[in-house]
Amino acid sequence: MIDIKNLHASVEGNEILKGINLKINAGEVHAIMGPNGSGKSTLASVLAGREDYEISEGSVDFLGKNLLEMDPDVRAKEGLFLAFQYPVEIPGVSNVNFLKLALNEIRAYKGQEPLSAKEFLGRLKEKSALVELDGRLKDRSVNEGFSGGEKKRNDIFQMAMLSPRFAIMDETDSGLDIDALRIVANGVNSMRNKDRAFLIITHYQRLLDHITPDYVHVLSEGRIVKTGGPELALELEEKGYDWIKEAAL
Amino acid sequence: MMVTESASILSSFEAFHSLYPDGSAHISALSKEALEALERLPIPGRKTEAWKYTPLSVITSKQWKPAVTGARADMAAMGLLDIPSYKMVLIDGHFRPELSSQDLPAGLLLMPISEGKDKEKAFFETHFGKKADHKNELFVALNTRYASNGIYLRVKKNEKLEKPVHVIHLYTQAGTAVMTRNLIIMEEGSQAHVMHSFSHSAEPIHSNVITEIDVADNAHLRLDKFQSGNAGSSHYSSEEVFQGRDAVYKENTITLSGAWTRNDPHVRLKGINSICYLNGSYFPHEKELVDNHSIIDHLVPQCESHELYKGVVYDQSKAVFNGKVFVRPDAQKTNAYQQNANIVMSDKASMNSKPELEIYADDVKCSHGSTTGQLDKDALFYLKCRGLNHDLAKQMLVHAFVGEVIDRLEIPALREYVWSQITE
Repeated sequence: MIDIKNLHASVEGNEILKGINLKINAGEVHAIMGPNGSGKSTLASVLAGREDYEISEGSVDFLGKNLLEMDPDVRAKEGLFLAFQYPVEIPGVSNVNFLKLALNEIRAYKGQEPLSAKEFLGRLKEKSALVELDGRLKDRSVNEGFSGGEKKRNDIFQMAMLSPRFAIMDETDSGLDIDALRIVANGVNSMRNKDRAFLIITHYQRLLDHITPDYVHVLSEGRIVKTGGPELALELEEKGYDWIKEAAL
Repeated sequence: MMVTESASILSSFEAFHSLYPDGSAHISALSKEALEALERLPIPGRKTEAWKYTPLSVITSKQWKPAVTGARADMAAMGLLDIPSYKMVLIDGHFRPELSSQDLPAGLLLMPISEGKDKEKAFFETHFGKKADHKNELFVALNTRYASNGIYLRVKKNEKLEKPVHVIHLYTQAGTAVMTRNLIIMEEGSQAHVMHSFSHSAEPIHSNVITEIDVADNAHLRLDKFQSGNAGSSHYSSEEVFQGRDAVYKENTITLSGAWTRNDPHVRLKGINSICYLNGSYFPHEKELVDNHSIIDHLVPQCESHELYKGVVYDQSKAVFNGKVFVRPDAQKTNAYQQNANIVMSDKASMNSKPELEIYADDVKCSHGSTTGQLDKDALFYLKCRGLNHDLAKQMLVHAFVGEVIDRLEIPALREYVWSQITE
């Protein structure tokens, strides 16, 4: 699915990613954990194509294509999805119209016909129920007036609508209460299948109680310093991150 | 270079003749006063606050000719023709009865002002030249002296027009300047919607349109302006509005294109409990300039004014907003709200925004705000991450930004027209 090799990225001259190597296959769920400032969100932003970062070294192969050469919208059209750490409010842009346009742009890119109004509304109804947002989206601007939890659920809803091949969850769990966390996790779990992969970036182990990853990686100082199974998340929860830093030295 | 402000603007209009030389004493007197003003008034330059960012050289550097009558024009190029309306067509300032609506309801007196001055003499002389200041305002003086025609519109007491009145202004002759003078009289309790659409299809062209408006007690008037021009057009447009008790006036000005556009709405709230809304939206590109200069004068108690102007300033264009609100000593319990917001889309574009409140009463609620910024980068990235390309994402944010103004156009077809015009 995605093959990240020796990825180096910096912002304003500060190197934040210092050689990331990570290969994720279709059907797998990988979690990246790490202390604040370790580069977790930078990795998500770089993969989604935010312009603020300079890639000085390395490569990212996504479904056989060079991801780093693509504009953010092309990455989305190729099947990459980023659930934001802080989903933005966009006053005046209708949730529904925006999503319809996005969905049909992605379909057109793949050579598919636009969805009919009926098909779109059917899918909308089904997927918004999945994240318990039904009725909260119509006639509303993107995320405007939404609580933190609703914004995250809206991102998961968008993911369900756009049906990506590879989804990155950038600290989707931060700031969520237990109920919202359960809803978000259910949304993700319902989408797990053998053709789709997930990269879940989180600071806490909590989300991983609900979404069991295949692999857990620990990011520190811009490098993956340890990789293990789900049990590694529990170990981190118990011992904190300091022992990892020491072990890495 | 020394720029003198003493030169007369008349040197650019030597080829023009006075309005209705054989007209009534009322018109002759106004015309004579206007000429005196034109000889006396200096051409305002950078030192004149009201014209600081809007040079008049685009007008004063040329020798303009009057437009001839009977020009052929491509009506199909005009938008908004599908909207059911009472149409009045002016081509190069000359009234074209064969293109205009003939079948009018009894409550509506709609005719060229060249007819209105005689057929409606009493109403005409009560209002014409009484609202616009031809003695002190340069563009009003030019217009009063040289207008070729315009529309006369009166809605009778308690009449409500079923359809809007659509005044179509087409400018087709290069090198011409066209002065158009309109008079709108809304009698007590009447209700109407008037649309002005302006299209300039040759260059250079200068158009100067002044509309005197009387909104009597409890009358309601909506006035929408749609302005399109080209790289050589300069368009001056002003409404001089008097409102009576409980009267409502709503104006929307949508400036789509044109090298030089200046809007000068001037509203006097003279009757208790009257309300006015001024809204505007502008989209200058390349080297265009758009200047919205509004004056709202609260003269009596308990009136409201609401202003909302939003612009998207592209390329190397310039936009200016100056909103002046006077609250006179008698105007207690005034509510006056003014908002101007802009997105500057390029490093070379510029915006000058100046809200001005002058308040002489002590029991009032007034607020004003002005913001100018760039497109929200995070929002842009968010939309792109969902599959919209850069241009679509940008367009979606621009639409969202100005939607608040465009949505105030009450007829859906008008909103669709504007969206179609501003979509690149």
